[in-house]
Amino acid sequence: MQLKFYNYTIGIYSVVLLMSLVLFYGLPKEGLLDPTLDQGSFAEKEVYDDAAMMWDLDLLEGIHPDKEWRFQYEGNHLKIVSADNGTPQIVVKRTAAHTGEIRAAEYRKATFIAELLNPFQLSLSGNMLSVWEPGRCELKFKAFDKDFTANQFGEKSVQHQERLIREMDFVQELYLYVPDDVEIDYDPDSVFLKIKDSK
Amino acid sequence: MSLAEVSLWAVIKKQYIFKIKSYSNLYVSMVAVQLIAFLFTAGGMAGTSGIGYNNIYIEVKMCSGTGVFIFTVLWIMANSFILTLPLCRNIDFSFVTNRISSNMANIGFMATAAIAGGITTALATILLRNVFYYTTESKFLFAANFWVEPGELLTGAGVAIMYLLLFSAAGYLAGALMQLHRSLYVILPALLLGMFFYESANEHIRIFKALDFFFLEKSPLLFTFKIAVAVLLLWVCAMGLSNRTEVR
Repeated sequence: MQLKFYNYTIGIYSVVLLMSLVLFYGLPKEGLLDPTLDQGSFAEKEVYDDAAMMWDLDLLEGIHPDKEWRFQYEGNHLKIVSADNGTPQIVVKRTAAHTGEIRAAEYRKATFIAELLNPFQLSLSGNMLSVWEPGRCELKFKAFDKDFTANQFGEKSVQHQERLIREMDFVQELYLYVPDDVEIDYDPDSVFLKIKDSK
Repeated sequence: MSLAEVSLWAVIKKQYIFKIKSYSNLYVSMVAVQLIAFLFTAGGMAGTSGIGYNNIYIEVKMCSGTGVFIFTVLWIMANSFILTLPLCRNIDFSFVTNRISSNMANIGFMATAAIAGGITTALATILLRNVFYYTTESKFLFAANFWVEPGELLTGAGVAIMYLLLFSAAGYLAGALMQLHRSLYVILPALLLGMFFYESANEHIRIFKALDFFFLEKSPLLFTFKIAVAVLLLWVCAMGLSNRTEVR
């Protein structure tokens, strides 16, 4: 009786393992998360770093506007405030004077993380532009390390951390385009503003 | 006194088959140990890391089949040790036997256990991947390291078998050593634990680094050679020691 139980246990386990093997090699190879990290992406990082230093990320090809706002504005004084407890980071670019329009754009990098993020929110009331941060975004991923035995003669395991850091850089940026003649007022303790003059 | 002549190989074969049948509970314990390791591993035993950038927080739960392998190593070491206990040794005397045939049958049994352990370990890592695949949304599961080529799977099974042979031989030697005197039941584990604590307290001293002799070997031929020589040495020592134990 006991021997029968042992044989059944071993038999069932073997069948499950073998079925799992067949199932695994039948899985479609597409669809899983596969960010590439090659020499090209290292060069790309330099391009992004340089553009960020010049506050010109909005001019890069790999960055696209995810959301845009256009406000008619005839005033000559704009107050930018944080509408929540966060400290939004905004790049302000000066545009030609007397256009009567303030434009805003949320740019996102073309990466898998960008699709999973919440958007910024903006509203203009009088001369006050309120900015809501996207809020904390928690993403939980799963990854495999190479098995110790399978890796005895192989290469180092892929470092997912390094890939993610690269993907997260400049993934979501808010740009404001404000006419040159509009004076900007903000509290540096609640809004982190980088203003780039049109000259 | 028996007048029938029995060849050594015939006795070894008979004992080996007997062990395979009568110790099938050890294989059930292997299934249990691997399932326990599987549950721990599926829970993210290989670690979790997190990084933040502005308002984004990313957590990566790592997984690996190494946990199943480590548990299988512990299983085979314990079982090899059990084979040297008087209870198991005395069963051998139901046959026409001597120390050599008994040891050879044990070695055969351990080799079979290592093969079974190695193959199931490799397959369990595939089962683990399947579980992750079907329980995780694909956009949250990294493809890198997930896919295992058939060659890689075979290598993994082969390497696992070699390591299991090595650790089973080490467990068998430890068991044979302990049969010399009862006090060694306490002294040997205490020495091993002591070395662990000593090493962790003294960063510059790395006793267990000696295992890098095997772990860091990147040539398949040299790796096989090293393991084979070490296993042979351990078995010969264990057989030599078992010849010193009292006869029944």
